[in-house]
Amino acid sequence: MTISEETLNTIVILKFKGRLDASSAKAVKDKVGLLVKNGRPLLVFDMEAVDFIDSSGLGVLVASLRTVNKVEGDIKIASLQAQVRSIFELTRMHRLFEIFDSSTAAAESYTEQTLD
Amino acid sequence: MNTSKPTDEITLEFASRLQYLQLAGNLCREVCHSIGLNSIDDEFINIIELAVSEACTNVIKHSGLKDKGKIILLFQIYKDRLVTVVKDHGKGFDISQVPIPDFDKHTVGGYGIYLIKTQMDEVEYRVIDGWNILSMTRFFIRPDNSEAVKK
Repeated sequence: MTISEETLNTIVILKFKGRLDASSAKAVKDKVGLLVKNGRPLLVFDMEAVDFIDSSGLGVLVASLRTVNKVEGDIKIASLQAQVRSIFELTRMHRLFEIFDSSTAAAESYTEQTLD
Repeated sequence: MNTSKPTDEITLEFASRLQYLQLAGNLCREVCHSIGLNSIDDEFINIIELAVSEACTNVIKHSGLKDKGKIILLFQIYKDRLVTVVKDHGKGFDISQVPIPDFDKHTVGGYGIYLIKTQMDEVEYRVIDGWNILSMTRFFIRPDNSEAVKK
């Protein structure tokens, strides 16, 4: 799996590509850890190019959310493929994460929260 | 137990390392495509790949075999179903004692066996001659009482 990064004001959009499983979980954990260390805990995970996720992949998403929540950050999920969304729903993770149709919409929701 | 013989079998033996999960996943897709039935759609293929990923990850992480053992992945193609078997010689576990996840707590782990049991039509775990054998069956056309045949 590859991870690319875009920044929109204070928000970091991480674009994942490939499989999110036990073999790629550490890369996600390390990336989130580095962003938190650098004071950038407002994240969007763009999953448009993630074609497979299993429980280890979900696990690192939950662990990442806990990590950013400790420093008043958040993770919003964007652009889930149908089979990945299905796993979110089977494990009720769609109740834990805010899920958006696009990374732009996810990023804009942070701005709306700030305005509120 | 159904005693009929599979029409075809495909086997992959690989080192118990996380880096080979994608190889196992890719083989799932190839095997499913090779069967060539209309009823084997994307949903069917995704479920087989998910079950194999969960089963192999369990072996690699929890059997004591990480980076030092091997996993045998066997596909048995029958006329009406695909049986996917994951074999290892690690310390094993009691599948009947694995709890259902607490969905309200959104825990980091504990979903793997739940996903296998809910997505496959039959799940059987045996230990034979020191080998832990997890057999996962998915019918090409699911039985109406698929909930009842889950173990």
